[in-house]
Amino acid sequence: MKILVIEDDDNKYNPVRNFLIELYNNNVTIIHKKSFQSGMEILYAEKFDLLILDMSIPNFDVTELDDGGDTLDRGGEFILEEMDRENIITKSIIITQYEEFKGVSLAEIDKNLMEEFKESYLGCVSYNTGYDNWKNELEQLIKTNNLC
Amino acid sequence: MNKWNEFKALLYNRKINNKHLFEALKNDYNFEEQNYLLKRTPKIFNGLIHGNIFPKEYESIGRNDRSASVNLQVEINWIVNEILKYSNEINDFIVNKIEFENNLLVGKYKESEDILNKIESEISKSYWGIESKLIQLKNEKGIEAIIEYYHQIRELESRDPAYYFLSSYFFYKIEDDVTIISYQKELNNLRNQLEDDNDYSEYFEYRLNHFEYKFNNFERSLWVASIHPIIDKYLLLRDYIAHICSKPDFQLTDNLLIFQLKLIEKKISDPLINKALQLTNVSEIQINKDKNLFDIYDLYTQGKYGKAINKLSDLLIINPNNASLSILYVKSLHHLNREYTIPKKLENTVLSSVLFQLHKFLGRGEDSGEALIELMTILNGIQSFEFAKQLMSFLENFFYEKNEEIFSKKAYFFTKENNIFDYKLFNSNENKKEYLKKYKNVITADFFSSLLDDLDKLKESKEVPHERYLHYKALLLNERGEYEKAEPVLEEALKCSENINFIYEKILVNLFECYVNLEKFDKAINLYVDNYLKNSNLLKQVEIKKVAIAIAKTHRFKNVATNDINVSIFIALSDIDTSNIYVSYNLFLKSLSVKKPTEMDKYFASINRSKLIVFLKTVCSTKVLSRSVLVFKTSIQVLEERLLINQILIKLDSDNQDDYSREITQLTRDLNVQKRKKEIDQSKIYVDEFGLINTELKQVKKGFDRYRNISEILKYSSFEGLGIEASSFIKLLSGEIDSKAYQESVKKTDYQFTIFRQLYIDIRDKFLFSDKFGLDYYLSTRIRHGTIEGQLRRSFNNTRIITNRNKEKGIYLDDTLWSKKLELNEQLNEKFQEKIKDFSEKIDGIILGFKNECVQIKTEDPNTSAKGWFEFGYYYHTDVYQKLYVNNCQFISDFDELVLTVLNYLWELTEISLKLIRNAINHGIRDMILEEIDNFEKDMRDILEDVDCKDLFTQITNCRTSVQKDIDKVAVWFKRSKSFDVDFIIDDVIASSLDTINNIDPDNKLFIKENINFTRLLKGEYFTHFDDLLKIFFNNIVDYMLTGEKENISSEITIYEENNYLKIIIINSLKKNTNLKEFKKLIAKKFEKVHTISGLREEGNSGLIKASNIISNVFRDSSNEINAIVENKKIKINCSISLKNLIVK
Repeated sequence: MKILVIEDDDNKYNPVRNFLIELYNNNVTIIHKKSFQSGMEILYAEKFDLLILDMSIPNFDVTELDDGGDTLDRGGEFILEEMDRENIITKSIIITQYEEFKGVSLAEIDKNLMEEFKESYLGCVSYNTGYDNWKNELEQLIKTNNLC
Repeated sequence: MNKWNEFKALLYNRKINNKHLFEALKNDYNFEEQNYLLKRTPKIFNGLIHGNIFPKEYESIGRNDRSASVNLQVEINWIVNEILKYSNEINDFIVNKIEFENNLLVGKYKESEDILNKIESEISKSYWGIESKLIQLKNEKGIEAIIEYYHQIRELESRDPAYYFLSSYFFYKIEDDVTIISYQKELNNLRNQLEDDNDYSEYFEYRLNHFEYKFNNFERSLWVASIHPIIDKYLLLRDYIAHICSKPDFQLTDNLLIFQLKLIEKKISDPLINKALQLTNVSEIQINKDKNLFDIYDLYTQGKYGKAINKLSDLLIINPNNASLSILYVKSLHHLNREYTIPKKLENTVLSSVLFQLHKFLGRGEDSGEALIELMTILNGIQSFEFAKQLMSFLENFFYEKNEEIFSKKAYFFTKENNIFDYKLFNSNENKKEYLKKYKNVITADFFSSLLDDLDKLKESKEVPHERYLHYKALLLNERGEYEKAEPVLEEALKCSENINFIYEKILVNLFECYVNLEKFDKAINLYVDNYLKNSNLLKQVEIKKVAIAIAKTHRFKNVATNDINVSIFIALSDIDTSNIYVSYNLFLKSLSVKKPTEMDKYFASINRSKLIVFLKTVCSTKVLSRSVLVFKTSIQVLEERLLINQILIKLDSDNQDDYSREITQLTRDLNVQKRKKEIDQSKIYVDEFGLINTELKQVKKGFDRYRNISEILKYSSFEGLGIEASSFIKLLSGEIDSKAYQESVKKTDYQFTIFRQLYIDIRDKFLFSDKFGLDYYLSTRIRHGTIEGQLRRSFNNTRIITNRNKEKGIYLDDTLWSKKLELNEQLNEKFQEKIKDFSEKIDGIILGFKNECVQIKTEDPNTSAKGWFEFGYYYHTDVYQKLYVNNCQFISDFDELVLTVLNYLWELTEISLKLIRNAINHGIRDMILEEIDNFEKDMRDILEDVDCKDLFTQITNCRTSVQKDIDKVAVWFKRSKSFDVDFIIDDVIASSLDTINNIDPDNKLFIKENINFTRLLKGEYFTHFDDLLKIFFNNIVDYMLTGEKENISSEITIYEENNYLKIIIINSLKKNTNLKEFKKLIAKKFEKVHTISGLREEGNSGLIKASNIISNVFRDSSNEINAIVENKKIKINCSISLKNLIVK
């Protein structure tokens, strides 16, 4: 199983990674990217069985010489759009801490994405460090789509 | 009869207090009973019944008592009875009011003043009178006269708290430089200070912001006004009647209201009352057969605009209060493509100013938006005039004609005469026709009537031009949804109306809508973009966002020609998500087989130049560029590409060179900052100042012009201006102090400071709350919705000493690790689980409380968070702002400089908040968390006394250590972004400003000999100012030499330190043909001005003045100096800047 996780926040990435390792009994390769650009770059180059991505991500990787440019509030969605335009079909799950994006609720975005990217988009998981539900939600999405 | 006897018995009963009896009459009797009894009550009781409703002095206004409770019907009944009782005075007032307005509008100030004085002496003083007096004085004598008058009336002692507020705002709204926007904003600021349930807030909204007033809690306005003079109350009631009767579903079915209106109609001669009664009964309407008016209609309809103009010039003098005449006058000028000409005898009048702005507005040119604001500002100043209400109604309908909910009927109510155009107000074609039939032998009426029939059978009259039929027919077909038929007619109508913008605009809007309904998207896009390039004002009413979404999302660009540059321009102009703009941009670039805009150069010649400019300027933004995958490796490469685009734009579009130069400056600075940064920026505190300055703060500029103008006036006046002292005023309204104490507490506020305060608040609010660029936006995305919970909970999660919550049930889950590991029995496990859940809840409570309540902005606006830690409230630090004004801003004469200074100050305030926040995190939050950990550890030791649980306690200890690192990390987020605060050496800033100059003109590079002998580190906050300063000097070097001579120019910069002063010396040679004598004089003159306050105020944009401002005001030391010497065909600029505030310690 080869999974790409696009997530810039290590405090979120680490629990997600640990959870995936546990879920797949260590039988999983996880690639971690931290920005829209680096995520897209590897999606062009390699194939993945599953993509887990955050909604809000920086445009470029943050380095000493680069502040990463703008943070893309709906960067996860842009990645799905770009994949769709380039015919990159990878099962994808969005995992986010936001409940809304500039007045649009996550539920609404989820519904729209489901309609727009029928072939690849599996759903959205609401992540909150203080809650446990995200694990169940993520597990359920993975299992019902026969990815585990 | 019995009722009167009963009442009379009570009236003359000595045991009964008459005042209470009349209160009961008002509150407990119905309208008819009141009417019956009041007619019979002897006049001797009038004072007790109505109070002083004809006050003869301003101080007596409002010296009456109100009812204890607020009730709409009670107040209306009472006012109607008062009006009926004093109908003679009201009739006099109505006649005189119209006469006053007519005279004032046409500049007959002596006559208008006499009428006003007559009303005030023979009828009564009133708030209407104060407002009108200020309007009179302003137009007759100018701003100094109104400041003086305002000063006088503010000295009087009134018992009515509304007196001070109303007089302040009557004064404020007629000032020349107070736009309707800034007026409403200032009202809003003060409204925020009033409690929501304050009755006055409703009344002030009605009285001071009439055009926006919605009559939602009108009973409160009535209640406040119940103690006011009858004049004010009558005006209030008729506004209410016009409002009630204007509702789209209005039917005159309220028997009491009809009854009352009919009674008023019998006694008062007011056209508004007649019109209210006639609105739902067309047959009762009696048209005033005014031949002049009918002729005007027909001349216009027949296209005889020259004759219409001649006739209107005469009529406007006779009947200026009928706004439809002004509208027809201006429209006729446009039909003839004529510049605005002042109708004879109307020079320098309010009416002429209105006509001038209306002409500009209907011209729909570049200045149309500004003209609309100017026009609305004039109308706002005279909002009590019938004319203003009619014209506002026209403007509202210009934009919202199709929206019945907000279609304004005010023009109908507030015009004395009936207008032929009023037929539109009737709801059925039958009623419309019946109304038009009343205009016998009027060609215009027949024309409008013919359009109400089947348009397929429409027979054109020879008397009406074909273009007029075409125009109306096209619009009606589209309105009826017959798009196939409408399309060719609209296309033809568009061609016919090319020179008459206000008609062309209407056709354009409809044709666009028609194309979209027919799904002819390419045609719609081309129509939009081609016209946008000609005149973007004509498209303001076209809603393109939905269309862009349909093209991008629903159809995924499949039904439009993406190889046409118009598509990406259209999408970019639609204010749609960047991702859609990017897709259209990307598809267009693909069609040219290029990857980035700078590779398009070989196609430049074949692309329409204007379109290419819009494409490069608007579509190719950094946001769009940075979305290109595998094209740019870093955000720096994106900035470099945008910089190159700007260099191309400077060549293609030299008219807008300043805009591109400004962006190049910013891009160069950003690139240099990236180079200077030595570490990853961990701050999450950010405001996009460049975005703010280039978009939202442009609106504040008008306020700055006013600030400068007022300061000039006050400088030469012998009196002091009084500001509105808000805090005492609020206390007065809430009853905390009486009016005497209020007057004493009112500081003799420097009026200029009051204006500065408003400017400051405008800039502050953009800085804080701009939804694209402001602090709150970044706090929300980077902190509140970001990683704060993850960061602070991380150590607890890793050590597993807290549990998670179930989202649906909201309860904490059992721990699954320790209970097994420690092999706890049931009893112990229960206690353990209870404690760990309790601990988890407490920790989350601290984190969430911090996130949701503390990381918020607090101002004086009650809608902001009361517990917010970012403290920007104006009224908390008035004295501090006065210091800011006195020390840093009062002599600034340049808007950009003021903005930068205020922004710097806002950053200082932010720094203060950030320091407190970091302190609160490092101590408050840290202490709370550590205390909870300690308590948890103690509790666990008690519970697990006999259990081997070393591992658990080790983890608690680990958590205690690790969470402190997390807290440290969070505290670092609350530092101002390094991007704008990187400390620097002087070489950095020389490189940056030189780069900027050379980036603006890359083909002609400037080289300067540098003698730098100064290496100390300067504070990052001063980088921009040093950069600006040097840029001014370097620009001067370029200016002083001939084109193409840059590399040959002998110029040098010397920098060194002497006695804790930074010495900057710039020497450069002058143009060969410079007249040295003249040049010396010019420089001397400039420096003379630099050293005078008025000089600083006068020369807004001179580089030298700007440089001097930076050196004296921004670098904050009065001993700083700048001077220039001209010798040996060279100019030498010497700056001496104290290092006291600038050096990093």
